[in-house]
Amino acid sequence: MKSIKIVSVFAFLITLFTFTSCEKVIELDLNDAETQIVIEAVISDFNNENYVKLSKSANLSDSTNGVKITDANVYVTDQNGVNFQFTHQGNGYYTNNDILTSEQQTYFLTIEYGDETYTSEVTTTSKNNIDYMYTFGYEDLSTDVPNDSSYLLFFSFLDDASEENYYRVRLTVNGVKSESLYLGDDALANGSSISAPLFADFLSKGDTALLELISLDAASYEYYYTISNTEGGAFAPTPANPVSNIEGGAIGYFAPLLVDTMTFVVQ
Amino acid sequence: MKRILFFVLLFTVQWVDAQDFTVSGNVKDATSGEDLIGATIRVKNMPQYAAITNVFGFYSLTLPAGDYVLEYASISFAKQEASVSLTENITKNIELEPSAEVLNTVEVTGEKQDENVKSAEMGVDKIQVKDLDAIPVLFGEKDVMKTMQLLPGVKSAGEGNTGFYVRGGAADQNLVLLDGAPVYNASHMLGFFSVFNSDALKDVKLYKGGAPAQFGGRLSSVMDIKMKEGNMKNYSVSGGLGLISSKLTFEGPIVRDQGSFIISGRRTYADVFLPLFKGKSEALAESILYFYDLNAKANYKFGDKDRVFISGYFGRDKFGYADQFGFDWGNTTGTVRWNHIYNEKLFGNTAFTYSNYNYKLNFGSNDQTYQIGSQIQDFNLSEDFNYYLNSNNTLSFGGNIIHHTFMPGDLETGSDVDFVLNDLENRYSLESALYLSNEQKVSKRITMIYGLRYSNFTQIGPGDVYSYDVDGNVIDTTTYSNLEKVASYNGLSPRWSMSYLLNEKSSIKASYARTYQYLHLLSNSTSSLPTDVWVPSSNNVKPQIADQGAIGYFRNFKNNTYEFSAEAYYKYMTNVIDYKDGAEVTLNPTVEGDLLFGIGRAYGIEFLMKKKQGKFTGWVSYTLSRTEKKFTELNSNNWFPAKQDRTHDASIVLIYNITDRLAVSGTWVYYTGNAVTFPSGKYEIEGETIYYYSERNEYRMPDYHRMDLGITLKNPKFKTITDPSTGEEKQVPKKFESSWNFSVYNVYGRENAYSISFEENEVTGQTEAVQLALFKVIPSITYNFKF
Repeated sequence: MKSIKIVSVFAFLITLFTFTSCEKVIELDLNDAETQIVIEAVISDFNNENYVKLSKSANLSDSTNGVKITDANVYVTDQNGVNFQFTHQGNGYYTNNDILTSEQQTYFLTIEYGDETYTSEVTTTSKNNIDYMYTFGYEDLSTDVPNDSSYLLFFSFLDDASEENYYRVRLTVNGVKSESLYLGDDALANGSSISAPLFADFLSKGDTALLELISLDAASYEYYYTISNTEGGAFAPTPANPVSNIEGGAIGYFAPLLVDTMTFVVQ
Repeated sequence: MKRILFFVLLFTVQWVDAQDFTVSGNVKDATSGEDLIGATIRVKNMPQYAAITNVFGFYSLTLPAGDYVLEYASISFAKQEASVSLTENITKNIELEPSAEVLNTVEVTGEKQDENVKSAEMGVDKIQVKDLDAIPVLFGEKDVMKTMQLLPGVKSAGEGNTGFYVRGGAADQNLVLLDGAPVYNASHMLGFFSVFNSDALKDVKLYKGGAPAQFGGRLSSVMDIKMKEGNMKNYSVSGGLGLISSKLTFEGPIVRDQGSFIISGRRTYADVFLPLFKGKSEALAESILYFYDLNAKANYKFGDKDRVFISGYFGRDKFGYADQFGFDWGNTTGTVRWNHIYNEKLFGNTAFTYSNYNYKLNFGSNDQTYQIGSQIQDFNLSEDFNYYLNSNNTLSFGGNIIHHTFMPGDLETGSDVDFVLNDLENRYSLESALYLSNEQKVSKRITMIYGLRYSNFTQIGPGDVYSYDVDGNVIDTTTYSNLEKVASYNGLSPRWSMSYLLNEKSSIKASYARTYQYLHLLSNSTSSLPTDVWVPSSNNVKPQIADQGAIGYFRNFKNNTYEFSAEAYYKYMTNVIDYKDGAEVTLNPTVEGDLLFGIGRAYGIEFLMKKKQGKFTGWVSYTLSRTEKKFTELNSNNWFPAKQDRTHDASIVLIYNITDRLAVSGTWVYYTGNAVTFPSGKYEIEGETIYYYSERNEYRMPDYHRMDLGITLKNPKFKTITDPSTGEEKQVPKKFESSWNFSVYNVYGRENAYSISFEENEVTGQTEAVQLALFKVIPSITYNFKF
């Protein structure tokens, strides 16, 4: 699984090496792009995580990330023609409590706003399940406290050999969600029993970790994968917009999640 | 050997002249025995007859029977005359003495002074490694690749970076050769140093345009670097102690005047100080960060006609973070070369070269480890001939064949990791070429170099080869067996350049060249990284092709004290590579599906004014240029500026020798910022601010400028002794020579942008651009010695 970006390593090397480096805010004359409709649509089989967030993009000089769209008509249809209407809860946030995603199913998203209609179609893969989790303890160098152990959390699962699989892993430690975006595919390990560490999070003794292994379809995986390219920087790829799976001219994504969870207490 | 006969016959039919005889031989440095490259041999009072030594110091000059006085000359060496009586073919080996007091002599001997006007070559930059000494550089680490960037048409890839762009070409379009072996990643420490230890180098030549037909395989330039051969006369040790690194060179004869060797090593030691951080930052204290280089070369003469050279380079960067993370990378090259003088007119050079670049990444510790390795490896056999047909025609011909192996990803896990990662498949290919070229003095005013190069590139099995649809998805997989042909490309590259002498002091030149490039470096990031991937041309990736035309005006002033040149070029490129949005180039088995192919064009005009002689030397260079690309998939199929597009690029280099012991120098560079992609809007996903981009490369980095200063102080070369027999005081040269070099990089502390990132202001919520500048004022000191 490709779960670590070596970019951060290079950044570290650079700061080590260039002891005189300095940062400052500069004035740049940046253009204002045309306003875009932004869609964040997720349906799931866990915890009733079915929501659609609608907003408009903003200029860089604006103090917010854009105005919310509160008056759209949002619904998801499954492959049997069953309609799931989303209702606006306020602040551009729409929900539905009835959808439960399942394996190898196709879902259609429709959003009607103004004169425009935005659509997306996704098909789920099979659901892959976590087999077990374990930790690996070592002396933590980042805290500068000698002999203070940190734990790296590993999880293991069997990849489905019959198809290409795409994964996202979410970690919640003591009720706090990790900000790290863990992604992986089976291109180099199809059908294997895969075990991988969550490199960017360090746990302490007694922590309770909730791990969600999310099986994604190829298109929503690509969206998550390419969203990390929107920041740019000396060692990052040329920044670009993430690859959207929405039709009709909006940006954003529609992702069906198949979530398997496991809880682990660091001993 | 049949091929030789064929070529020889072809041309002897036309040129048989029984009354001509040939004088040939070697020209060398009398103190070190090193071959002199580009030394001139002229017939006194008959300027139409002249020859130049090749890269192995060999020359051949054919003249009608008679008595002549030959003048042997080379820059910084005293001119020497020799009388020859040509009643038969003769061999004349010459050793030139360095001109003793170069600085005090008004007229520097060295006859190639008007070479830039008279030679048919254009778009060529040469650097003699000893000229590097005076020029101030970052951390005092003199570097041919950085000095090259001060010349017109050659642009730095970034702050402190050894990567370079030539006439709008990308960084991977430069063929960097060390003793004939390609160097695939010429940088240490992410580009702040080049892999070339200048103490081990002799001569560097950069072809920016019409490279001779002998060279091929890259679109934009050839950087031909030759290592020193080693002192043929005496043992000598030289070295330098610097802030960042130290180096030591040992050279000497194997058998005096028959063979010699040189070994040169260099290592940085910034990491030596890291343990000092113990207790303050454990992370720093436990880090590893250094690089080292080793150059070695030996040569031996077997009789008068044969000489064998063996040379090698090994260098490695090592970076580690405690026992959890390790990263090291480096090049290895090796060359075995056999020079043979078939007869007084035919010089042959057979070489076998090896080149390897690899990197290794390790994560984890104990048996819980993951290791990623990648490498590219070449075996190359080449055969080159120079045939000195007569004083008006010098033929070069030959060919080569290279076997490439690409290992994009070799993945290993420790014994405690209970799954196996599949390696990325190796790729294999064969690259071969044949060429023929002639340098002809057409008339008193016109000299031409023309040639033809034929090249072939064949991707071979074994392996699974994919086909892709327009979206980059694999639609078909074909399995090929060992040595089976997958895809093959041919290229015919004409090369032509000409000079027309307007008068003794000025000339007009023109050139045209077509070049093919079969290997492509995938580097999707702004900086060059050790993990950038070389991919070969394949069923999906076509070779890049460039056509370049150039015209130039060359003029020397004041008895060749000043050189002026202006060259204009236009280059058109096809099948240039860019990336789909968000393409991943590292460890991606289907990376070819993420590539885009388009066209490129580059044009510009370069000016150079150089003062070569006197106490005050240096140059001013300026380039006005444009480089653009066009892709169906990008920026609505409009031309857009390439990353390396820089409108203005200027540099000034001044060296003032106050006395023969003290020299001061200064450089100033200025260039337009690179074209870059910045956001034009923002929105929110999962509660995070995400930037919105409208077009690629629609913005500019801020303009770059910087001044460096340096002082070199040589300790006295002579000491005064009293002759015990006569009681007379006299000056004798010291055996031990030494010098101090002080330099300051970025004297006025300009904060040049290395990268620009965007973040939200915590108070206003507005997006701000944050610039990272790497180097403010950096002083350094170096001590060099030789005995």
